[in-house]
Order: sequence, then structure tokens, then C-alpha cells
Amino acid sequence: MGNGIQDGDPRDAELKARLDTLSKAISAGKSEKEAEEQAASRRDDASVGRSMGMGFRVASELFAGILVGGFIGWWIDRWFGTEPAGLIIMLMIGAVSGFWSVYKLAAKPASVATGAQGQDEKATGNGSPDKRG
Amino acid sequence: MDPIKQFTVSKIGPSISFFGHDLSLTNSSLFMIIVTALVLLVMLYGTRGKALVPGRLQAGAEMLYEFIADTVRSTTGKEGMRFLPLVFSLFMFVLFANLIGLIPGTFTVTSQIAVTFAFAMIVMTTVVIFGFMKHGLHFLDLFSPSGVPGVLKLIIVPIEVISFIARPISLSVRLFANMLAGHIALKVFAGFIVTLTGAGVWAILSPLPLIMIVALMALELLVACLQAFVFAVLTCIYLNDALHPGH
Repeated sequence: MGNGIQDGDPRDAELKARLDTLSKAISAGKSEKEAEEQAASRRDDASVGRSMGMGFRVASELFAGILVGGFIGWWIDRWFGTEPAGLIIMLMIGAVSGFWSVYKLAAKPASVATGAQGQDEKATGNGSPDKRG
Repeated sequence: MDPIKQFTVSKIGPSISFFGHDLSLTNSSLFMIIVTALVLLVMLYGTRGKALVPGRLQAGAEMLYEFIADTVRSTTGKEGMRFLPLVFSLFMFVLFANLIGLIPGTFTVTSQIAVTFAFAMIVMTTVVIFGFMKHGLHFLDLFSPSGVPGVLKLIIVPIEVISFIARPISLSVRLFANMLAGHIALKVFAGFIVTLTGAGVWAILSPLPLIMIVALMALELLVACLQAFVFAVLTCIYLNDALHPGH
């Protein structure tokens, strides 16, 4: 087996040529894969921005709902002298409305929620439970 | 070293009084003027050449315009394009104010809730006035979604009303809180550097907060652009409600 390579010179050249083409094919595949990975990471960057925006929105909707509910309840109490009842009830309604807007935000297909996205997401937006959107 | 000190509004120049109102120039209004001037400069100077093959500044100006125009078109449809000037002005002002605020020593206009709330109220006033103008009382359909049975409406309508009132607040608080928190975090970490350098042996640790600041600065840059974009997108979504309420 050891000297089998040495005596077949034409076969050796043939093998070498084949090795060359194979390694070329491998490197071509590799660079293609690298380019794909780069594109994927760029997509990831964009989606990081999108999800960060979404997160900020969810947090602020929730906060604002509770704040507005509490504020309205406080004023109701001041006007009608219904000391804690107005604040408690309106605070709860405010919290519910905060959750309600977060639900609407999440139930919408991503294209409506974040705006600038293309039609491709609209097509895949799997029938939102929110019939108003 | 007080991390809040950077947000104090102080008078500069002579004090001007107008019918009893104090209209003197403050550092806040000075930076608003700077921001507006920079936006004008970039847009006017950038599009001055009208070159077929755009230069760097023209490409930037065109990209910003196209970006916002696409956002408005995809969110509100062709009808909403009449609001493009409003959305684009708001976006450019907020973006430039956020970015200029990141330069050390400057004043961040958008870290004042008075400013962001004024912007949010401009948007909501436009929504309400335009909604009533276009749809009359049908604009109120916004609060009672179709296909909801009567009993449920008693619950849904107050909730919808409160979530509508909460909109300008969430819109302004989000922008203001993000800018405020980011700038305070930067200042606090900068304070750590100073304290550590003056703390004898512990001075070896002082590069750590510096690295943190570099990382935070990158994050703040992202947040500055993102918040301007989110503000513009939400403006579009709310304007869309004025165009097509309750369906």
C-alpha cells in the first residue's frame, strides 16, 4: 500500500487535479455561507432595533395607562368626595386599558405594529385575533 | 458631579419680558434653535446640488426622506401622505436633538418632558381635529369597535377612552424617559471614573467604568435613532386612526 502512490504517476496528477477542484468548491461554498451569515447577522441587527422599539412601546403603554387611570380617579375623588373608591376603580380600569393596548400591540401583525416593514410580513401575518386592526 | 445638573434650564443673555411672560433665551431654547438650524442646513445644503449621482450629504438627506416617506405610506396609505411634512419635521427635530445631546457639554432638548409632551399634543390635536373634520361624529367609532355586543361595550368604551388619553402620555414619556435615563447613566459612570482615580490604589480600577461608558455611548446612539423612529411610527399610527377610525 505504501508505494502504491509512487508508481502510478498519471493517476497521481489526476488525483491532484480532482483535489484542486474539490478544495475550490469547498472554499466557494464557505464564502457563500459566510456571506449568508453576514446577511443574517445584519438582519439580526435590524430585528434587535425593532424588538427594542417594541419593548419600549409595551413598557410605556402600560405605564401611561395606569398613570392616566390613577390621575382621573384622583380627580373624581376630589370633585365628588368619594375618597378612595374613585382612585381604586379608575386605577384598575387604567391598568386594564394599559394591558388592553399592549394586547392590541402584540396581536397585530408585525408589519402594522412597527410600520416600515415590507409587505412580506403582512402576507404571513397569521390572521390576527384583533378584528379591528 | 451631580448627574441631574445637566438638565437644568438656565437663562443666557438679557432677560426679555413680553406682556408679563418671560421670553428670555435659555440654554434649552438655544439648543432648539441649533437643532432647527442644523436640520435646515443638512436638508437645504444636502439637496442644493440636485445631482443625479448624489454626494454623501445628499445621499444622507435623501435616505432620511425616503425612509420617513416609506413609513408614512406603509402605515397610513396614500391618503396619509398629506401628513408627511408634520411627521418628517417631528422626526428630524427629535433625531437631531437626540444626537446633538450625545455630544458632551450640550443640552438635550428631548430630555425635557415639556418639549416631548408639546410634540405629543401637536400630534394628538392634529388627530382629533382632523378626525372630527373628516368623519364628524363617526370619529367616535374609534372608541366602540364594531362587532362588540352591548353589555361588553359598557366595559370596552371606558377602557378605549382611557387608552386614547394615555397615548400622548406614553408618547412623550417614552422619549423623555429614555433620553433622561441614558444621560443620567452616562454621567453616573463618568462620576465613578473621577472618584476611582482619586481613591489611591483603587485607581487601577478606573478604566472599567470608562469601558462601560464607551459601551453605553454605543447603546445611547442606537436609542437616540430608535426613539426618533418610534416617535415617527407612532405618529403615523395615530394619524391612521384619524383617517380610518373604528373598522
